[in-house]
Parts: sequence; C-alpha cells; structure tokens
Amino acid sequence: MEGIAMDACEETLTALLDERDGRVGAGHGQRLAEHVRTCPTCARVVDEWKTAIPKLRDLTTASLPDTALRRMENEVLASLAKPVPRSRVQRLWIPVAVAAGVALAIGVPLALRSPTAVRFARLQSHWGTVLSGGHPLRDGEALRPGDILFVPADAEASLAVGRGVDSRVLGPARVSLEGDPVHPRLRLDAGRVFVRVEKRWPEETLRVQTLHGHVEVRGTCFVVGYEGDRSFVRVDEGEVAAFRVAGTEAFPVRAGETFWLAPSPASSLAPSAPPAPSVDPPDLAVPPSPVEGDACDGRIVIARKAMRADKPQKALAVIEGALAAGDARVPTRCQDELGYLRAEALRQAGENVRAIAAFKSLDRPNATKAMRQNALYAAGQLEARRGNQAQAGHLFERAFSAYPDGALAEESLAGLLEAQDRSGGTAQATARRYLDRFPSGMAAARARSILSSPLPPSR
Amino acid sequence: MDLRTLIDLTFVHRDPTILCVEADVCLVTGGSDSPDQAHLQAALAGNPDGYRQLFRRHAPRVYRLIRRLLPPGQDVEDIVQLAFVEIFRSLPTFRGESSFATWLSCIALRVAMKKARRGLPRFVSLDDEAQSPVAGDSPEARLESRRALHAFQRILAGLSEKRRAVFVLHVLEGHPLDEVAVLLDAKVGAVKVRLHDARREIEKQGRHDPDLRRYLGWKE
Repeated sequence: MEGIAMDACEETLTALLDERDGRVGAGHGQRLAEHVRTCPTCARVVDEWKTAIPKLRDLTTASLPDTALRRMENEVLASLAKPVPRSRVQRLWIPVAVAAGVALAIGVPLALRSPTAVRFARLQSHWGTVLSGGHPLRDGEALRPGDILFVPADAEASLAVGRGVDSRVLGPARVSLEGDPVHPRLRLDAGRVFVRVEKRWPEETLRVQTLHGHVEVRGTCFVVGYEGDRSFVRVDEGEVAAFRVAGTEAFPVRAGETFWLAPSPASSLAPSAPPAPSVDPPDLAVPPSPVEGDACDGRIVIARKAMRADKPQKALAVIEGALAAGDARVPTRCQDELGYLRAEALRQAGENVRAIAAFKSLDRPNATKAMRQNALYAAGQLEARRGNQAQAGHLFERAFSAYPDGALAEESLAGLLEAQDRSGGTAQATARRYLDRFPSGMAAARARSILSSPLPPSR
Repeated sequence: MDLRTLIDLTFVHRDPTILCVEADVCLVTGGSDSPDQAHLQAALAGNPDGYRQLFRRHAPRVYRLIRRLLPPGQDVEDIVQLAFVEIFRSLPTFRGESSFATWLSCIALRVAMKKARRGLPRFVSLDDEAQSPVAGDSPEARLESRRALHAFQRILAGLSEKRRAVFVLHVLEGHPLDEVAVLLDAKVGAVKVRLHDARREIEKQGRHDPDLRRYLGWKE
C-alpha cells in the first residue's frame, strides 16, 4: 500500500469501527467500500474484525446470577435507607455542633446510665435476607423485646443491643431478643453469635441464652454457639460467667478459654432440645470443634470472596479441599454451609446438572428449614432454566413446604405457578393459593391473569 | 468485501426509540411511554418497588458494562452496588435530557472509573479466572475460551483508561459514537481517535498472543 492507496487504507481502517451508526455519509461509505473491494490488505483486516467483534462480545459477556442480583438489590435498598454522607456545607457546622455538645457534656454520663436513654436494639447491617415476624428487616430498623430474628443460611446480621453491645449472628440462626435496654437477653435457638461488649455499668447486664445454659457478661469479646447438639462459649477478651441451664453455679471463663454448656433434655427453653451426648464434654478443655469452626468460617469467607469476584473454580477448590480434608472433623453446620456454597459455585461455573444435584443433596431432615428452602428453590430455578418445568414445579413445591414462612416462600410459590403455566398444565389451583397468601405479591397480576383465562380443554 | 455488510453484521439494530445493545437486550431510549417512566416516578415518590424495578431492569446491563470495563480482580458486584446507590440518590437530578439508560450509564461509568483508579489490576492466573458463559461444552473449548479471555482482558487492561472505555462502550457494548462522547464527556472526534488507537493496539497485541489469535482466527 503506497501513496494514495496508503491514505485510503488509513481512512478505511480508521473508519472500520466508527461509522457503524451511519454517521458517515453514503458517498463516503461507498468510497470506503469500493476501496475494500480492491485492497486485499484492508479486505483481510475488515474480514478479521468482522468475525472478531461478535466473538469478543460473546467472550466478555457476563451474566449475573439471579441470587447475586437479588442479594445486590437488597444491599442497594438497604444502603439507601442509611443516612446520606454529610456534604461539605454540612461539615462546616460540625465545630458548632461540637461546641454545643461540650455544653451538654455534663449531662451525658447521666443520660448514658438512664435506661430510657438507651435504645433496646436495632439491626446495624446485614448480608442476605434477615427476617422478623415474616418481614425482611432493613438496616437501622429498630428491634423490640419479643422480636425473633431468622437469619437464613448464607446470611448474617449485625445487631446493636442495649448500650455498647455489638453482636454478629451467622446464619442459619434463630435469635430471640428479650429483656430491656439495661438488661438485654439474646436467646440463641440455633446458629452462632459473636459478641463484643463495652465495659458494663454496675447495674447493666447482658445475657446470652442457649438451650443448655446461659452466659452472663463480665468480659468484652466472646462467642456463643452450637456445635452439633452441644453449645459453648469461647472468650477472646475479658471474662464471662457461664451457667448451666438447671444450675446456679457460675463458671468463670477467661480470655482464651472455652466452656461447654452441657445439654439438658429437661430444658424448659426448648421442647425439641437435642438429645444429650453419652459423655459430657470436659468443661474447660480447648474444644476441637470451635477451633475448627473458626477455620471453617475462614474457608467460607475465602470461598464467598472468590464467588463474589466471579471465580467459582477457586471457590470450588477451597470448598472441596475443606470438605475432603476432614470429613469427620468438619462440624455439621460447617458442612451444610460449605455444601451450599459448593452448589452455588457449581451454578456460577455453569455446571448446572452438578449444581442441581448438590442443591438437592442439602434437602435432608437434619438440615435447617431455611437451608432446605434455599437449596430447593435454587434447584428449581435451575431446572426451570433448563426447560424441565415438571421437575422445577416439584422442587418449588417442596421449597415452599419446607418453610412456608421462610424468606423464599413467595418466590417458591411464584416459581411453581410459572412452571405449571409453562408446562401447559393447569395452574389455577396454585394461582388461588398464591393470591390467598400473597394478594399483592410480585406474581399477583400473573395469578389473576391465569384465573381469568379459560381452563385448557380436558384431554 | 462491502464495508456496509460489515456494518450491518457487526453493529446493533437501532431505531429512533429503541436501542438494542444485544440481540435480546433492548432499551427504550425516549418517549413518554418509556417503561422506566412509571418506575422513576414511583421511586421518586419513595416507593421501594420503583427502585426495585429500575434495579432489575438495568443492573444486568450495568454489571456487564462494568465487568468489561474493569481489569480482572475488581469486585464488580460491589462497584455495581455503589453505582446504583449513587444513581438512586441522584434520581431527583435526572431531568430527562438524555435517556434514563444513558444517564444511568454515565454515573455507573464514573463510579467504576473512580474505583479502577484506586485499585491496580492484578495478574489473574488461569486457575482462578472466571469462566466465560459462552465457553464451549468440551473441556478443551472451555480452556481455549478462558485463555483467550485472559489474553483479551490483559490487553484491555493495558490500554489507557480513555481508550479502553471507548472500545468497550462502542465495540463491545454497542453504543453509537455520539452517545459514547456524551457518556465520556468528550468530543466525537476525540472518541474516534481513541477508538482507532485502541483497535490498533488490540490488533497489534492480539496478533502476538497465540491464544487470542487462535480464538479470533487472526493471522500472525
């Protein structure tokens, strides 16, 4: 390509990608097209880009999984509920506010010690869907004595309780809030709660109750949780007093120590208390399970991070490594969480058949209701996407039945409705069920449309 | 070879009211009957459902855009969330001078680029690279796609921010040049120059990379 031809080549190649919206006049376009017809070099480049562009688009097309979309949606809406960061103008007022605050400083200690000055509890932040009374909670929402929080598998909630108590509840968990702002009580029926506490005033108390006893706070940072059918407290900073369910004796547990709260079948707190182990665990031994639980939590964090960065293979390697490393030593809770994450990672990796099998394997009697519902719903979604509407419908029905008050109950019923409708079957009964339960739900319009359309002819 | 054929084959369909950025992803770009309008009004009235609908309609596209735009190793989900929080907080300032999709993309781009400037791209090994959804069924095809994706991402990450943005928006996302100029607050002429430079750089490096060259069917 030389001389004038070189100019034409340069012009053609410059216009190669930029005239596709018709900006170049017809005459100009014709001239370029004419040049391409007569110039083998430009023809080759044009031809190569012609095939490359769709390939590059396909190569870089990333789909967003439904679960991720829903999780992000919840996070965005929760963030909107938070106060907007102060503007520069507002920040100028801070010195004034500080000066005013100094004038009130004398009253602050008294206010802090007054029960009426302390809020009982609120949800500080959460991951996933956290429910109370069947409704998803938002960040900043106030909680009252008597509220029961359901934290599904793969979710967590940070709570501010009373004065200076920060607690992190890891799902699947159920926590009841009791007491008052000065004497709050957390009743942990399932799951694990990490607690960090500021120093207490003499009249302030904090109690964390499990099925097997309770922990009274005298320290500043500790964990209470279940491992299989036992519960424990592990203290990281300060000291707590542990009490067995039927006893009055206080067992001091100091930083670095773990105390097992022996299970009691006679527990009045839990009609369905788990059976007592044949041999009581040692009281102040360093227990293997919570330590492994920490390692497990670490693996879970790494796997989640990998999945959020769209690296399912890395997540799978971490999860399968953890599961294979210590079948017998990995706690049940951890196995369930890892199992769920494995299924999610398989789905993210596009291995849908294996993902469905992995999700379905989590539907077992000893799994939590939330876990079963999450897993069955996810499996149903995948079957629906593969066009297996009958299988999808079956899984959605089971997801709904597993936990009719669960976070995904509405989605499950809506999925069943959709699957029945798509498979050509009659969805009228399901539409009625849906509308009875969720009259203004997300699929209400669809359900009404199904009910108003004529029934398909009987075969 | 007819250049028009190339244009027709490689570019997206467009008419005055609908912009299709992929075969199955279309945006209504104007008119009072835009589906966004009702959701916008609901959101502005404080109805969470309005926000939800807007998020569901636009999040997949914003996710794909940001993922294409940023070097590997960035937490795309976090950035999409940040972008939508910013978008929703700025809703009262949307005056309808451009389409909602364009306005929204503008904010998403700004948030993504700000984040990208803070976090340096890191090398991503083949083992932890995300799999392309278009990867073939056979393990060999999947591996080939992943290697090509890795090479392409590396080349894109090596482009200057401005060139990368223009190439992603115009070639991969299918925005017309004048819209790219609006999105990047640049002149159309400058956008053309950046696009030309980006194409040459990608072509030059792509021909030297055996994985990408093989995948695209380019000659050395």
